[in-house]
Amino acid sequence: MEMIKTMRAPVLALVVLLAAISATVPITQGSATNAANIVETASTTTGNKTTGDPILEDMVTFLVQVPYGIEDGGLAVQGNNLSAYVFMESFLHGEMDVVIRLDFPDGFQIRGPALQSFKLYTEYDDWYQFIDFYVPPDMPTGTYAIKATATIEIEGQQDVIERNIAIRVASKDEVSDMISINRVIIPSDEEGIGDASRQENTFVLQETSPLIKRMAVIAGIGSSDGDGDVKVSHIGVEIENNGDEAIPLIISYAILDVNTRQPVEEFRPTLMGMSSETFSYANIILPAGSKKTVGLPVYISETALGGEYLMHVKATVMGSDWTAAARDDRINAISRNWTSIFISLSALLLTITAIGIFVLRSNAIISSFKTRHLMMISLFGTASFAAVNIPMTFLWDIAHAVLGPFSFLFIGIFYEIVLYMLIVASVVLIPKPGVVTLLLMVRYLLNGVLLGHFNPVFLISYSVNAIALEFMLYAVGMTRGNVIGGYAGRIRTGFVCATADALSQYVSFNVWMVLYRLFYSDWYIRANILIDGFLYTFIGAWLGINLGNRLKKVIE
Amino acid sequence: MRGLFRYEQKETIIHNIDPRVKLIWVFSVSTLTITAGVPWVLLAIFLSTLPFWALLRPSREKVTSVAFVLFTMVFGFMVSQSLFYYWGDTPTFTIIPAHVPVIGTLTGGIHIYIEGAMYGFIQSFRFMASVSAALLLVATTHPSELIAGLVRFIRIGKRHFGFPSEIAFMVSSAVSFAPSMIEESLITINAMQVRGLNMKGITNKIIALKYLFFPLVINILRSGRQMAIAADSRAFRATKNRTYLNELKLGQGDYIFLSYIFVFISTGLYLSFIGYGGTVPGI
Repeated sequence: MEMIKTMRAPVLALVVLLAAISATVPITQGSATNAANIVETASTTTGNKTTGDPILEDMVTFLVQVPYGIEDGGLAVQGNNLSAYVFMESFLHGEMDVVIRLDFPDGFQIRGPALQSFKLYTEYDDWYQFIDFYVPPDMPTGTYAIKATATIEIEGQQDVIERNIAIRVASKDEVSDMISINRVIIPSDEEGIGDASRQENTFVLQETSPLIKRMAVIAGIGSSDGDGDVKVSHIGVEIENNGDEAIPLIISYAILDVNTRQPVEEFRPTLMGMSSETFSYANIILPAGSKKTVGLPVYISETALGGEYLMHVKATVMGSDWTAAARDDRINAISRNWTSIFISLSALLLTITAIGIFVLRSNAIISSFKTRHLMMISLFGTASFAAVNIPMTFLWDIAHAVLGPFSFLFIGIFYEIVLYMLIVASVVLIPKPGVVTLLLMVRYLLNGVLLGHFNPVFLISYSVNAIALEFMLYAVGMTRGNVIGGYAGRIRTGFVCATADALSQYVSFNVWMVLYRLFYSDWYIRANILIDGFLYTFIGAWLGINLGNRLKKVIE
Repeated sequence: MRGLFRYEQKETIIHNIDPRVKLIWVFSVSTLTITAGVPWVLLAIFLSTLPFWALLRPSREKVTSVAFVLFTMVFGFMVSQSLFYYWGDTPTFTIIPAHVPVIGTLTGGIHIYIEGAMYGFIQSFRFMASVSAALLLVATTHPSELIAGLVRFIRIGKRHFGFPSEIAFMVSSAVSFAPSMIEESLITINAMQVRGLNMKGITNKIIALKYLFFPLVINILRSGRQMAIAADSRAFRATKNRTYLNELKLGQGDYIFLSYIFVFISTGLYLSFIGYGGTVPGI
C-alpha cells in the first residue's frame, strides 16, 4: 500500500500535465447546452460515458445518475420533478479540491445550484448530492445529453473528468403505456411469491389467540410491547415493462378505507420510531420487455379491525413523484374471533365425548327404561319432529321473507314453546336421566332420515342442547323424581330449561358462524338468546309442566 | 311436498349401494362443505351430488319438491346474510334507520346489503350440497335399511358397532308413526272445524294448534302403550345377541363407490389444504 502511494506522485504530475494540454472543456467555459444537444436516437448517445485521464479515473469514483438510480439511459417524464445523483469518492491519500458542474440542455429547470464545490481530504473520503430538476410539460420528447464535469485540483494542478449521460424525455401517456401492474399477490412470501395455502386477497389479523399470547408472555417466550404488537405479512406485485428501455421504478402501496379512500392508520404503524411506510417500498430497475415480481412488507397493527379494505399499489418512476401505474384491489382483513372458535371446538369435543360415553354405556342407560317408556319417548320425539321440524322446513323461509330479522319471534313459537312443552311433558311423565337425550336423539335421527339433515352442525347443536338440559334438570332434581309442584317448582324448571336453551343457542350460533361461515349481528344473537332462548323456553317449560301433569292423570 | 321425504322404490345402481356406504358418502359431502371455502369448489361439491340424482331418475314431483326445498334454502341464506353481512360498502336499502327510536337504537339500523345476498348465495351451496346428498340417501334407501345401517354400521370381530337396537326400534317406530300422526292431526282439525272452530287467519290457526295439541299427545300415549305391549309380547329386548333377517354385506359396487368416496374426500381435503379451503370470514 505504501509503495502504491509513493508511485502516485510522479504519475500525478504527468497526469496534470497531460490534462492541461488535452482538456477539451475547461470548467470556466462550461455552459448550458442548447437544443442542439438533443440526440435523435439512442445509438448516438453516450450514456455516462467517461472522458478524462484514465489514471485520474483510478483515483476517484465519479458517478452521476440522472435520474437517481439509473447510470445509463434514464427516463424522464414530462411535467415531473426528478433528482439527479452525483457521487465522488477519493482513493488518494491526500487532499483534493473538486468542482462539479452539471450542464442540462435548454428547457430543463434545475432546482438548486448547478455548480458544486467541495474538498475531499483523504482516501475513501466521499461526497454526494441530490440535484433536483424539473422537466416542463411542454419539453419535446426525445433523448437529451447531460454533461457532468468534475474539475479536480490536486496540489495546485487541475484535471477534468466528464460524464455524458443520456436521458430520454417521454410523455406521461407513453410511460403509462409502457408500465403495467399485472397483479397483486396477497398474501405472499418475502419474495412476493404467493402462498396457495392462504385465502386470496386476505390478511389474517391477530393470528395468535390472546390467551395463548398472554401465556407466552408469562412463560417468557413472547413479547408484550413495542413492535411485538405489529404483525408482518407480505404482498407480491407483478409489474411489467413493455417499452424498449429500462425504467427505474419505486413500487409502494397504501391500504385505504373503502369508502373514504383515506389511508388506514392501523396499516402504517410506527416501527423503531418511524412510520412503517419508510420500510414498505421497493425500488427496481425494470429491464425493457420484462416483468418482475417484487415483495413488499405489510405491517399491521394489533388494533387493526377486520373488514374490507382497498389495496392501492402504485409504481412511480424513480426520482419522480408521478405515478406511472396504479392498481386497486379489494382485500379482506380477517380478525379471528377466538371466542367462537374456542366455543365450537369445545362443543365438538363435548359432543364426541358424550357420544363416546353413550356408546360405551348404552346398554346400562337403555336398560334402565321400560319398553313403554322407550315407546313414549320415541313418540314424543316424533311429535316434536312433526310439530316443529316439518312445519319449520317450509315456514322458516316464509318467516324470513315476511318478518326479516325479526322472524325469530315467530319461529321461536315452534322451536322453543312447542318443543319445550313436549320435552318437559315427557320428563314429567318419565322423570329419569336420559329421557331428554333419547328424545333429542330420535328427533335428530328423524330429521336425518326424513329431511336429510345429516350434518355435523345439527349433531353438535342437538348434543349440546341434550347435555345442557340433562345436566340442569338433574341438578334441580327433576330427573331424580322430585315432584314439580307449585309456582316455585315451575319457575325453577322454567329457569333451568331457559338457561340450558340460551346456552345451547349461543353455542349453536357460534358453530354456524364457524363451520358455515355465516354472519350474525350481535343484537340478533342477543335477541335470539334472550327472547327465543330464554323467554319462549321459559313459557314452553311452564306449559310443559301443565301438560305433563294433565297427561299423568290420563295415564293413571 | 309429501313426495319429498318419501323413499322411491326402484331398481337403480344407487338403490343397490349399501346404506352404510351411502351414509359415509353423505358424511363426506357434509365434511367437505365445511372445509371448502372457494365458491367454485362449493359449487363443484354440490354439482357432484347431481349425477347420482340422474341415476335415480326421480319423478317429476320429486324433482319439483327437491328444487323447491333447495330454492327456499338459497333464499333463506341470501335474506339472512343480506341483513347481517357487515362488510358491504353502502346499504342497498335501509329497512330501519339507526335513528328510529328503540329498534333503530338497539340494532344500529337494519340494512340490506347486496354483497351480503351474494355472500349468502355462495354459502348456501354448503347446505345445499349436504341436503342434496342426504335427500338422495333418503330417496334411495328404505328407512328400515337405513336404520339397520346405523345399528350395524361396522363390524369388528363378532361385534357390531353402531346405534343400540332399541334406538333403531324407536326411530323406525317414529318413522312409521310420523305420517299417521300427521293424518291424525288433520282428522282432529277437521273434527274441530265441524264443531265450529274458525281456522281463518294466522291467529286462529295458532289457537287451533292449542286445541290440537292435547288430543294429539293423548293419542301418542295410547299408541305408545299399545306398541310397547306388542313389542314386549314379541320378545323385544329379551336377548342381547339378537339376529337379523337381512345381513348387510358389502358388494363389488359398494367397494367401487367407496373408492370414489375416498378419491372425492381426499381431493376435497387436499384442495382445502392447499388454498381452496375457507378461512372463516370475520371469525
